[in-house]
Amino acid sequence: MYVYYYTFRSMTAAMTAAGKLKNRGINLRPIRSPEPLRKRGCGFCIRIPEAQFSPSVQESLRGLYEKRYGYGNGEWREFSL
Amino acid sequence: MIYLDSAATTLRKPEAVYQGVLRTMRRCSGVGRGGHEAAMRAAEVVHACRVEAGRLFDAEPEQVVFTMNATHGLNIAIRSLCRPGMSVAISGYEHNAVTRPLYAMGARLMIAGRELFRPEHAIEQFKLALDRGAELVVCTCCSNVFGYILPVQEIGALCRKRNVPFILDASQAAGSLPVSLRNSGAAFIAMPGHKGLYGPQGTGILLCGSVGEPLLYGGTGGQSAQQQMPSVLPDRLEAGTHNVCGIGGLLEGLRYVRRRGVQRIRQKEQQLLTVLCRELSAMEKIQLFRGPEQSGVLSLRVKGRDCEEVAQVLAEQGVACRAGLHCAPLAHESAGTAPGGTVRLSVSDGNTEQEIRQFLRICKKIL
Repeated sequence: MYVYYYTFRSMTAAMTAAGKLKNRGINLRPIRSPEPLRKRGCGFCIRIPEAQFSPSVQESLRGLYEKRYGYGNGEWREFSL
Repeated sequence: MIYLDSAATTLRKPEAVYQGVLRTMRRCSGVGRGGHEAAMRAAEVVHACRVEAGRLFDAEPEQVVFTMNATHGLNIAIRSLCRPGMSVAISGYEHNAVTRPLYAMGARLMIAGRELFRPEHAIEQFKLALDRGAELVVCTCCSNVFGYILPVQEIGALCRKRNVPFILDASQAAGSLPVSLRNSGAAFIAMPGHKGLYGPQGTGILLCGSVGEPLLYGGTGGQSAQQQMPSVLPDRLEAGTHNVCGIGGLLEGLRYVRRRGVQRIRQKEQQLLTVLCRELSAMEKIQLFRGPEQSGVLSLRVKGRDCEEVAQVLAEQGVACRAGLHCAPLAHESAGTAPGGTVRLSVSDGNTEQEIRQFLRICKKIL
C-alpha cells in the first residue's frame, strides 16, 4: 500500500491541515514524523493512505504543509511542491 | 460577596470554564510531546482555543500565541520592537505592564494624551508625537483605572500611515469591546485570559501581526535538532509546556463570549454602570470619574477619606473592589488622582442589578 506523508513546520500548522481534511470528511490526526522525515529533529506530519488520497486532498493542503513524501515498497520518495 | 473587581480578575466564570479546566487536567498531557492519546488530546484542546480566539479577534490560528497573562505578552511585544534609546509614544493611561518593560529597555517615552475622557485630544497628541519622531507606539484600548476608552482605531491608522509599529494593550477590552488584529493593523495585541475572556488566571493571548522575538527559549516539541528557536509562529514564542489546563478553561471562556456576544456583554456592563452612577452621583461626598465613552470600570473618591480605608470598610461589608494606584501610576498622574489614587469599581457580565442595588445600599449606610 502506498502512503503519503505531509510534513508541517509546527503542530499548529498540522492541526490546521487536519481541520481542513476533516471538513472533507477525512478524519486523520497529526502524528510524530518518522525518522527519514525528521530533517531538523522531532516534527509532525499527516499520514494519508493512498485509498484516502485524491488531487482535491492535495489541493486542500496547499500552502499549509512543508513537504510531501510517499512511502511504498520499502522506499521513500520526496515530491516536489 | 458583591464582586466589583472584574477589571483585575473576573471571579464568576461560566460553569463550562471550571469543567474545561478539570476535563483538560484529567485527560490531557503536553502538546507535541508525544504521539499518544493524552498528548493528542492536549494538541486538540490548544488548537481549538487558537481557532476560537482567531474567530473572536480576526486572526489566523498561527497568530494566536499563548502567554501567562497580558504582561507576558506585552513584554514579548515590547522586547521584539523596542531598542534602547528608541522614542516610544504611549498614552497617559498606560499600566506598569507597558511602562516598566519600556523603562527597562531604556526607551525615551513620549506621553501622548493625558486628558481624561478626551479621545480627540489623544489623537492630536499621538499625531504630534509621531511628527516628532516616535518610532514605536504602545497604547491601551481602555484605562484600567478610569474605564476611559482610547481612540485606538484612529491611533492605529496614524501609525499605519507613517509605517510605525503599533502595540495594543487589550487587557480591559478583550471580551467587552471589539478587538481585531486584522482591522487594527497592530504588530501585536496583548490580552489576559482571566478578565473579560472569563478564563483562568495564568492564561493570556498575544495576537501577532509580526513574528517577534522570543522572551523564553526552550523546547517546543518540534524542530528539536536545531538550537535556534523555530522561525514560525506560534512555536517561536511558546517555549516550554503549555498551561494546557488553563487553556482548556480559556477555550470555554472564549466560547461563552462568542455565544453571548461582545456587544451584549458591553450593553449589560453599561446598564450596571448607569445604575451605579445615577445613585452614586447623588451622594455629595463622592467624586465620580465619568465619561461619555467608558467601559465597565468606574473610579471614585470619597471626600476626606483615604481610598484604601474606604475599600477596607467596603470589604468588611462583603464588597470586593480595589483601591490605590491599580499598577497604573501614570494614569493617576495624568488624571490628577496621584498619589492617593482612587477606589475602583468594575463590573462584568456575571454581576446582577440586584447586587448593584445592594452595593448602593451599603454605600449609603457607611459612606
